[in-house]
Amino acid sequence: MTILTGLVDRARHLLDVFSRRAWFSTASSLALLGVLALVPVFVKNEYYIRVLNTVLTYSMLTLGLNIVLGYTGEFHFGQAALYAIGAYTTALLTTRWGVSFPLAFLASIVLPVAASLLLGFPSLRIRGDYLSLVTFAFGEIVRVVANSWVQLTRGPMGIPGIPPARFLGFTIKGNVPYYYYGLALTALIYLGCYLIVNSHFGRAFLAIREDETAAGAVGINTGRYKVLAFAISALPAGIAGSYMASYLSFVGPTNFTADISILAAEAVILGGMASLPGSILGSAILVIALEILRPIAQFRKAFIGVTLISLLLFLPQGLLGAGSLRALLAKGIRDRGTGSWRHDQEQI
Amino acid sequence: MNSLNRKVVLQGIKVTKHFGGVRALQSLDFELHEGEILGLIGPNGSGKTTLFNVISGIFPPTSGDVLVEGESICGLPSHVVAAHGLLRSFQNLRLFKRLPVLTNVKIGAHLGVKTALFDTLTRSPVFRRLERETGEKALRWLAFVGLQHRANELARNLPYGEQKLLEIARALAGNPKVLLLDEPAAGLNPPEVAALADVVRRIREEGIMIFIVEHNMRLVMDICDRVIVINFGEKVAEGTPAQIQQNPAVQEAYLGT
Repeated sequence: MTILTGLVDRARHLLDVFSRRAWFSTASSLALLGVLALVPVFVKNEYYIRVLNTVLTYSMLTLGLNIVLGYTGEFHFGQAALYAIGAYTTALLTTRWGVSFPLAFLASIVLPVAASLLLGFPSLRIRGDYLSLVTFAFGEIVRVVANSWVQLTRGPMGIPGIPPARFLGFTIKGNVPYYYYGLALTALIYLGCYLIVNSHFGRAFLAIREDETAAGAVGINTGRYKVLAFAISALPAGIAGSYMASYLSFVGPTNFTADISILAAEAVILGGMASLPGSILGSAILVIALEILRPIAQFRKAFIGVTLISLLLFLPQGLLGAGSLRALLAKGIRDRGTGSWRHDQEQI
Repeated sequence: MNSLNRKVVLQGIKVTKHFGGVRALQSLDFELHEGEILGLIGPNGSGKTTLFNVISGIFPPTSGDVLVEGESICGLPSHVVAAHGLLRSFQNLRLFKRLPVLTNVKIGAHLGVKTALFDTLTRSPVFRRLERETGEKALRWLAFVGLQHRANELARNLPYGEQKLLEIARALAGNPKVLLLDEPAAGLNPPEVAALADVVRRIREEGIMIFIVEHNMRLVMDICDRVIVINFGEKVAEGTPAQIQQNPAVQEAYLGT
């Protein structure tokens, strides 16, 4: 009984917070969620739904990455590795060992988080360009292992026949059900990220991004929070992996190339560092742009590269970064050098 | 004011720091007593900021020890030093520039906030109380330095003098026992220096001790109870402002022979 009243109390408080402090952003997010929930009613083209499911997958990856890249300012280019670990976990557990889907789903969260904790430790010693190399290498290692450890992963042949997601007796199968499943997961991840970044955790992450020495001097255990940011960022990646594996019913090493890590990082930058709505917007724009450009697919990598460089030069704050669009409209792009991409390494 | 029979809050014992062949600090002793404002002066490059960096755990000393209320904090990482009640400002401002002013001070209050991830995700009563207290504390210290009207601006948009005050407010929000101020008056105009002196005095009234490095002699002589003079990493003199002003060794260090 007390637990129940406690829960009711917390729910009421959450409503209260949303209605007062952040009522505008909450109202608009809920309205957006409502509109998105209605999409399959009007869009009957299965291809469009498939593209939207890809957008949702990237939104999960990007929301997670934003915690470590956008908020904490650690250069993480290995999100594909955690996505891969999540996907392979669900694939192997359900096909080879007959584990029930909810358990496999849970394992797809736990294993990437554990792997990401390990990945977080180098960030205690190195940062900036060097950390990006370490995380990038980690991504490649995971892909190469998936490609070469034939006994476990069947190597380049991949793992087919992954059963669809199944929770509490309900089987989720087909594009539209997966759209709703993905939308629910993305909404939950968004809520989780929102609750974390609007707390002392989020403030500590931002402090580390802004000035690690000063963050330490005010009592923030910077190492602990950096490793924590890595762990948190892996959770949505693992969920996205499980989602995609059961959706496509197949995983293979070619699904987890470095392109994915770079695209996710680019989505963070395009949407705006430390902006959660930006993560969704950035993912949507990039995934849809790549679909539109499918006829010239050979230029895919060039497109990713050119847009990334253009963003860093002309729109470093991203579309929804702190005051970015507004500031851009007001001042033109003359102070673009002050963007949030790079840390200035100052002297103590 | 007789400081000898008061409790020692911060103590340095033969603190030495070498950077390769450069002897930045040589066997420096100092004591900060309860309720005291202690000044540290010396020519440029004499080791003042190095001493602050050693005390606040930015880097460890080569040898020697630093004690807070008898407990060694030597070689501990800076966030642990901060948890012992030693908070500092920086000579070259180190604000969280792209964050709002109030958020800067809230981050300064981080030490008072200890909630688990679970509390945060469920917005538990503990979390709510601490979040509310953090906000109130941040606003109180912001008002203390007179910046409450700037709460929602980005830190980097504040004029230099206000950024200096913001850094002090951020340090105060961490409930320090001792506040280490590294050249708080550098770059300030005379009215701003006067405002700063007022803030420093009111900090002392809050029961917080202050160790201040400063080049502005008028400010040092005005607010400090005792002053330590160092040159080439060694202590040249120590005493009340009046004694220091009379001391020939100090005049030599500053003016040369």
